[in-house]
Amino acid sequence: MELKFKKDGEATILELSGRLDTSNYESFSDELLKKMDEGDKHIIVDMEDLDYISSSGLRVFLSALKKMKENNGELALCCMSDKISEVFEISGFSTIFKIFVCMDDALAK
Amino acid sequence: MENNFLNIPEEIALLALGEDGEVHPKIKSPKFDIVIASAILMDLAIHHRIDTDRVNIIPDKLEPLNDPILDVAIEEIKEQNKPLPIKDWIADLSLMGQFFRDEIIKSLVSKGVLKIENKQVLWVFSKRVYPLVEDKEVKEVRARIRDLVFSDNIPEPKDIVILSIVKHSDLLDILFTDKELDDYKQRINQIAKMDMIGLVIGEEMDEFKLYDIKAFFSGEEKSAEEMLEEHIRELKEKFRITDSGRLPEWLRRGTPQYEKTLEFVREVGTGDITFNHRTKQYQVNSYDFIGHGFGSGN
Repeated sequence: MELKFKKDGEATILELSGRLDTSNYESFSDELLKKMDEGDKHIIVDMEDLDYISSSGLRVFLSALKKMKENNGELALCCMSDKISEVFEISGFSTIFKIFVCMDDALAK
Repeated sequence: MENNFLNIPEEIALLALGEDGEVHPKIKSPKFDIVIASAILMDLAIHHRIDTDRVNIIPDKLEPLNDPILDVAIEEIKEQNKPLPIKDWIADLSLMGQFFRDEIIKSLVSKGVLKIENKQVLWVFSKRVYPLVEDKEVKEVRARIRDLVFSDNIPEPKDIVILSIVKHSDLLDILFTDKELDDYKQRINQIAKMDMIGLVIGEEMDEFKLYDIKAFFSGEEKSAEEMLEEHIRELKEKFRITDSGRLPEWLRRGTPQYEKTLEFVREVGTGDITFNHRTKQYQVNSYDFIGHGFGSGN
């Protein structure tokens, strides 16, 4: 898994690529929580190059969403492939996350 | 406060137990062994001992949790130590159902949640309350799951899996009235979908063939070997096991442990038995929460 950060105005964009699974969910979680602790209230995760997500990965997103809501922040996801989209759909996570087709839409909102 | 006082199989068992000690009838069925097996796997996933995707269980850190129920499952998975379909693991652990049922009750008694009186399992405090944990109240499972469904809060992973198990095992009537099920159907479905193992349980329960064990064994006298082989055939059909190599050693013809299994069948006169890998003991399946090995005068 590769993780890159950049800023776009108020938003912090995380570009996530590769696999998110048992081998790296902890490091992803640590990085995400670190950004929240630093005060980032608008985080967008760009998942365009994410190939695979397991239940460990999904749980990281769930915990992050809870924490963001407690901090009155927003967590959005965008640019998912069909495969990742399907996982979010089947698991029902698509009903609790703000998911955008592209980055422009995510930034606009 | 995160609730780690009880594991998920224990909380599922408590859902099935009324304040008067009445056990929900759906629990007294071999099908409930699938529920227990799934609960164990889901708990291991939450504890990062395994990972899952839509199809497979993937072993992760297989260190023990100091939990007698979960650690047995960890040892089983360690023996294979490779990704395997979720349904295969549900089948394998379901074969140990009676052992897990007994261990769950033993554990709940030792944690001060339940007591055994006159061969009946009862809540210690005569109502649905857990003892204080480090002087703090821990909300009991039924109240917690109901509160979650009636709110729009983001669920905790543990509560997701519990509701997922309950829903996919057709046990929602344990938690909700018909009207509540109607009013909150969407919310229940939303939460219950959020666990990948839960999605597989639904499919497994639909395909699981229930047999009337007693009817199966009625009629002419059978030898111990015939009784055992019948039970094995039934299990293979129930869990769609086509490769006999996948059977545990105690059910695999030609192994020394199989010979011991046969001896036990001869002794008890039925092939409907189970084997505890940890204690190396056999017992007859009772599909109840007090097996013959515990709490019944032993």
